[in-house]
Amino acid sequence: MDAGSGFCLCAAAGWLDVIMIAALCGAILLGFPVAFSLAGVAIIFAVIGLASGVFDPAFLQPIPQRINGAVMNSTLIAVPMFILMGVILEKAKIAEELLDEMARLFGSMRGGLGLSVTMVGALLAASTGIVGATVVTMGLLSLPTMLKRGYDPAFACGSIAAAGTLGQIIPPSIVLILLGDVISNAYQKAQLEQGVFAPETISVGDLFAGALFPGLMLVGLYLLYQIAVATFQGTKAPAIPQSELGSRKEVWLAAARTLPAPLLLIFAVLGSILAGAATPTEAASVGAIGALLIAGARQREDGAQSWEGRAIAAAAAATVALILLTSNLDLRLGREAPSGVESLAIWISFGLCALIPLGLGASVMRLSRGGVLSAAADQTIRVTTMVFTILIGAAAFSLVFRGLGGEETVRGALDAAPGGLAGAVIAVMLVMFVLGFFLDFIEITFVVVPLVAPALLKMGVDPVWLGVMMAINLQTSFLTPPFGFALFYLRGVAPEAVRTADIYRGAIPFIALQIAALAALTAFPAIATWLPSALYD
Amino acid sequence: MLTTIGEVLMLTLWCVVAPTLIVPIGAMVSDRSRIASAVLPFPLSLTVVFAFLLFSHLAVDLRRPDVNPYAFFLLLITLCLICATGAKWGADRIAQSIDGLLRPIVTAIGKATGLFVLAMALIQFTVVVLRYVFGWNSILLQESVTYLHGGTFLLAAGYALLTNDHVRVDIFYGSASPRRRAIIDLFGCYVFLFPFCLLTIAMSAPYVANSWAALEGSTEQSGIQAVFLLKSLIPAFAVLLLAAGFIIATDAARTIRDTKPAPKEATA
Repeated sequence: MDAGSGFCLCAAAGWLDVIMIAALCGAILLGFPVAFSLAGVAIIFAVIGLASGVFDPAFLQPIPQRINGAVMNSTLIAVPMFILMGVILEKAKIAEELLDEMARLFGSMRGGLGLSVTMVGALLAASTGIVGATVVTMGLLSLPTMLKRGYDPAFACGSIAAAGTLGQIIPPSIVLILLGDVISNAYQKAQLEQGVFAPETISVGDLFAGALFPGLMLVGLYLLYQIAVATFQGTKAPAIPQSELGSRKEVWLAAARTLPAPLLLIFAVLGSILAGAATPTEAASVGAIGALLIAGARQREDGAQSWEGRAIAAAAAATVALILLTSNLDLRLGREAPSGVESLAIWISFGLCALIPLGLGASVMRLSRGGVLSAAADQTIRVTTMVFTILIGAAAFSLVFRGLGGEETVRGALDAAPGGLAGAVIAVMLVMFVLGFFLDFIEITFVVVPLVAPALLKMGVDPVWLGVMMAINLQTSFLTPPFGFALFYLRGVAPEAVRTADIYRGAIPFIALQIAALAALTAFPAIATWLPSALYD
Repeated sequence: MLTTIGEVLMLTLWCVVAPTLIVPIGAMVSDRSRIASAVLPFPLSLTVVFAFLLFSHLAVDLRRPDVNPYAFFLLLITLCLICATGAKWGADRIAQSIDGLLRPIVTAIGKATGLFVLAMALIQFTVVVLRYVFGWNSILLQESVTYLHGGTFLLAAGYALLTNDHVRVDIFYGSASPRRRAIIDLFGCYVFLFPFCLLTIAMSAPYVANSWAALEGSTEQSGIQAVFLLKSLIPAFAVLLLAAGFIIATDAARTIRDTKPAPKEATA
């Protein structure tokens, strides 16, 4: 290598971290899977760095440890099980049923279909939280009905796109689990760097608790807006005559049959995490098994054996009885001399425990006959793998980025942001907002958050507040024309008759609501931080 | 001397697997010229191998005097085989047969992990019942969930690549012609995916070898004493991705071969 090119390399070497980011943007826009683009760009820049002598190959050594870390991480184990729960509810058409029943329940009100979409979005959110899936499901199911009933296309599209993104901010969404894990690492790191050697920790539970009120606030704002439109511009959201929906009594009976089980499941899962009674992983497994039972009970086909239905019902009843017994009596085994009542209860609970596998078995048999089970398992592994492969690619990227001194560059840029802490937060939020046009929540969580969060947290930002702000900010980004993901997915499933401009126009009021929510959170951070501190301190 | 099985595997990786990755490129030109498909692998494979010599102090050092004769001959034999068969049948046919061998394996392993997910939920649920109702903790059961979790996403990664489930940014890709998509896929495989897989294997070799040497077990006494197997999933992940990458690269190469480049817009 001659002296000239050596000099050029050295001059460029100092900027390698910045060039690396630019190269990454170019690479992912090509359209090759993001996970591998991240890792590939990392390796290319590691080689360039090695050649120009500014990169220490020791930075590459931890790649296998990072992958192993993703395997061993006890929080992330919740992810595949939550995905399984959501996918079962979707494949067994329970999500569909929920939407149908809600629409019948509220349809006779003006704007009722819009309200039901928002509420189902919030509920499904809890179980899936993957933007595309929810928007597509609701776009396919609700949009045609809403249009047929004379809803304004822009209003209908806006409602569906916005409701589809609610999924990620309402716990227990998967993105909050991932974000919680990343932020808790960043928080520890920030404290260690400040010389706090017994750092406070934040958990995924904290972030769930923190996101609950802001999430509900958004649901409330959406509902208020929809009620306002229905009241003042009735032609945009007409009511459906009660006669077409069936008598009021029929509607309520049908709702009473279909709604309680999934709702109970979702609240039980969320409640047990928030109450600190169970870890997200434990709650996720209960959610997945519960979804399996509900799906089994709903799966009716010709020639179904009645014993299966009874077994499933018995298993569900046994589970409830077991919870009641456990909360009232001490059933722990291996104690000295349990009282008479307690030993009786222990024997009863053994019997109850035997009923659960019976019901599960029946449920599994039914679902696998219908092909639902294998479809759900297949879908689950694909989504899970997609998530974790991005984690691995992002880990490789951030190792090399750090090796090239990128961390100091980011910190320097944030420190130099005009307006100090507020300026830095605003800058980060704007960058994430723009990135949200191109990247999914998962990629931003694994690539961007670990880079910026430690610096912000070190400046004194509250970790829970930061996480919630990031989540709502990204959610807004997904709704913003012309690139927003939610709009993109909705365009994919919307009928030809709906103009793209309608979709864009419909999203705007909801973006305004999102910005109002962000402003409220900035003015009153307690909306996010109060519940975690009240629950866990 | 080649003393450990790890060194033999590494040698196979660099001198047999890495050069074979070139085959799809040969398939791209095989109908135009047998000679091209026979000669092309030489410089390209050597480039791959020498690029990775840069990292050789991280894997087995192919330049080491006790290793290099083996490395040299293995590499030579592999290249000759590829070129000879390439000249005889065209690289397309080699790619096709490797493809036919790999695709069912990758798919079967991926699909099998569906059972892991179900088992995971069932076992975790059992752990919850045992713990909350009967106050009984089982480290063995809890750890088995971790094993299944690792098995799921590490073994299904290749399958997910075949089913195109890894997220893409499809602003441009979505509206691109099949030919352009194939070019992007082929480029991505060689520039991003293959280097990543080879690097992961090289990096995890010492990590996994240490674990095997110690027959590393759980940190808990009553845990599953097979952490070395769990860690072996990391190179397995990379190998399966490599196999899946080979398949999509072959598909892409065929698409490029069989489609005509879009005619340039005539400037009005």
